[in-house]
Amino acid sequence: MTPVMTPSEEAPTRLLYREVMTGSGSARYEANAPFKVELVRLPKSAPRGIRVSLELGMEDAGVWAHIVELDVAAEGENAADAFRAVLAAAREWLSYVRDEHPELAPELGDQERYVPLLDAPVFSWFKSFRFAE
Amino acid sequence: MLGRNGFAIARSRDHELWIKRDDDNRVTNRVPVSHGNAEIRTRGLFARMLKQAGKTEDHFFEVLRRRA
Repeated sequence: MTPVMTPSEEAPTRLLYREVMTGSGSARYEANAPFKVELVRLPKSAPRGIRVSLELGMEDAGVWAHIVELDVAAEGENAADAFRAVLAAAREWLSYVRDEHPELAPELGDQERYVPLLDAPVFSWFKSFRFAE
Repeated sequence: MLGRNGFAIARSRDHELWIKRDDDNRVTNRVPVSHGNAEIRTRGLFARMLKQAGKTEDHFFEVLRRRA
């Protein structure tokens, strides 16, 4: 019977070290170590044509936020709260449009085109931010 | 105020969504409202909600007066 050599019994390969200079001194790494490959799936960014604009307004009583193209607004104690609230309001509106396909009067415009924002990461939703005067 | 002006709740998850339909069942107005947002604190949000509802500030206070 022919002996079978398993990977752990293979002759060890000679380790090759390389050295690089970094901001905090030199670092040594195994040059012939196998690469570790990890697959990370990133959601697709929002298409450019449907990115929206955010307006923020600061008042003594709090901060309001308004997504212009969706005409959705909300408020919070600070800018972060207002931003979270207006995102939640926009998601509620867009998911209603996606799920119910309501017939919209012309003055509400073509809101269905913004529905793909629901599947896009928030960082890609916006084309502009501005503070209202 | 929304309920007294022909609006009905369409969604009530993260936010409430109030909508108003015309005779042809088309959505003419919609107003997203935060849960527990009984008191609107900023003028900016108040102005936008009135615009979404298709109402004026005078109408809003008139409704409040009638309610009182």
